[in-house]
Amino acid sequence: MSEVPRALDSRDLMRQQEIRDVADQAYSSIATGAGRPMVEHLYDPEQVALLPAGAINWALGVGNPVRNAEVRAGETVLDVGCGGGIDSILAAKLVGASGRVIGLDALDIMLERARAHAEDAGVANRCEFLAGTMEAIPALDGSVDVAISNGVVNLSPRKTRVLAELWRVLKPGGRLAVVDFVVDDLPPEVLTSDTAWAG
Amino acid sequence: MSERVFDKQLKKAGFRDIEIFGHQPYGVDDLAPYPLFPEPFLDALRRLLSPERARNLATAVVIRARKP
Repeated sequence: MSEVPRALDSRDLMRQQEIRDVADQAYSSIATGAGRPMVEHLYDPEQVALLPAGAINWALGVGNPVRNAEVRAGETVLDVGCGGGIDSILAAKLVGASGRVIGLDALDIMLERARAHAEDAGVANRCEFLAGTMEAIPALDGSVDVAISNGVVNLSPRKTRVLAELWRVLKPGGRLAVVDFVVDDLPPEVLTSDTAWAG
Repeated sequence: MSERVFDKQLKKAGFRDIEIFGHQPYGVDDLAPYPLFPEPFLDALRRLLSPERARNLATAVVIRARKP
């Protein structure tokens, strides 16, 4: 887990830092996630039953990547932008004791929440929550069976770089299951809003 | 990023067996449960956008792909 790939150029770093600052401020200022109504809308009842209250309260995703990831026992799953850990926990239940889940998030406060929620869910022994960015994933080449992400890739100003990183860390035959927003265009009222970028 | 560009970028990165499905429109009201979007921001969008646009700001999709 110690290999951090290639340096970023200064212009990218400035843009990333700008967006990260906006997201950091937004996520640090909220007192909860979208909560149970959103989780019950996006997740299966069987999945919700596996989740501790904290993971439900702090859910901020836009879909259900684990439902579409076909995670199997013994696999290594990377959750990019794990937030409060809801998808990491669900993946950890599926990989079982012989598997492993790596939750990656840029925000320390979200990692602290994810660790606590994984502990509450009884899966902390198979979860590792790491600080890092999706543009420079702190994982070795070819070390991951399944990469999941939930409403996070759209936050990156370098999506091509993110996809290249996901490809790098996946094993040959590895799978990607991402839920995210796509847009054909956005109104200027949204494009010029820091609040919209943070979400 | 548009769906077409996402698909193209996945191919460029080397992914294969790409599937994009489960399209779910997200409008201003769908953002309301997320505390990242304060009510004044959502109210401003409701005022500024057409009703049709306010109902469909973006589309959530499931993207699956495989590394060969």
